[in-house]
Amino acid sequence: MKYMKQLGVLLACAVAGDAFSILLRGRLPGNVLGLTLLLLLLAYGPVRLGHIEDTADFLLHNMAFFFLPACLGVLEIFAEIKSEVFALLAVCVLTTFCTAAATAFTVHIALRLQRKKDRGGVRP
Amino acid sequence: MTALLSSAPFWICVSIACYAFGQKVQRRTGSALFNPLLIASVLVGLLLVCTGTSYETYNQSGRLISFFLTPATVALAVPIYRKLDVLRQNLFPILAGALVGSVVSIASVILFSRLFGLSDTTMRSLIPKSVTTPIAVSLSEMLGGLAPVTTIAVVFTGIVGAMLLPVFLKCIGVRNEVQMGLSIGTAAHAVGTSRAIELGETEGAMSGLAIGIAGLLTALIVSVGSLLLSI
Repeated sequence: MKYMKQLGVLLACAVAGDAFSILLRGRLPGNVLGLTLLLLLLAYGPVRLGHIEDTADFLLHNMAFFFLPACLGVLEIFAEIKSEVFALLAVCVLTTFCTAAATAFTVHIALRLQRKKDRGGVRP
Repeated sequence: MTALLSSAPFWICVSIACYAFGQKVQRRTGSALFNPLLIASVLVGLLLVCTGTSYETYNQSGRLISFFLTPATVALAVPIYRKLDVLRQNLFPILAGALVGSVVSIASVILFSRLFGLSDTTMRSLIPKSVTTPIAVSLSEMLGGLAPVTTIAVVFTGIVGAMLLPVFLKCIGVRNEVQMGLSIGTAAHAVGTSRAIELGETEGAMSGLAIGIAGLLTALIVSVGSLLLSI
């Protein structure tokens, strides 16, 4: 029953997340709210890592496999996007570089600011 | 034979076998290019076409597989919780990097999609493509995008990120491990992180944290953005 109970806890968070999502009129996806809820429950105590760890690790390790049916959905819509495939892939490549460069630049500045602040704390 | 081809256990077995084969290929070659999900998709797709089985028939068993996505997404809280100390110690660079990275990701998708003349639906499917697949797919559906297009874009982005980002970032002068890890995780989620782990412990931990944080921030940005634009 151990794995089933753990699955039960995860599903309960998902259901609560869906309920919050409805309250927010679908502005945030239920699964994102469920994730946030579980993180809060872990951080503030009521749920301990041991309550969910084994099933959570099983699910996380196999995450990509669970997407296989979604990926195959492309068979149904391929005719629709056939003409756009190359542009679509090009957009993916270019934006990946933009995102990584912007993150690297921001982190560089953030680390420098942090260091300056730390030094300021030592020498008032 | 037709009964077999429409039975759920049959297609689930086929899916598992194809995915396991994909993992074996990746382990042998050690390259991000041979992504198990892509290999399995091509193999199962070929089998469906060769046997004349419709996607609808396949998806009756596929739904049983997709079901696990819901608890798996919630389970993403576990890796964030395990690294809570690292998150607290580096809160400012992590939040700042993931926030700016997520904004630039969304903005650059809109810009390049318009530039290349992609359809509105395709653009909507691509907007969340830098974050981990479960969050990306639910955001895409919320925006009116197509889940399969998003899934493929996310996987492709991960592969590109894992293969090219370490070299690209070194070229633009990134030397710091925290900087390297956060950039890879924000731009290329879990597939990129698998490469970041190979670069070093700090890179791996930072990249792993960036998956969850960038995912949550992107959800917030998309949500606030769609709220503001719909008014």
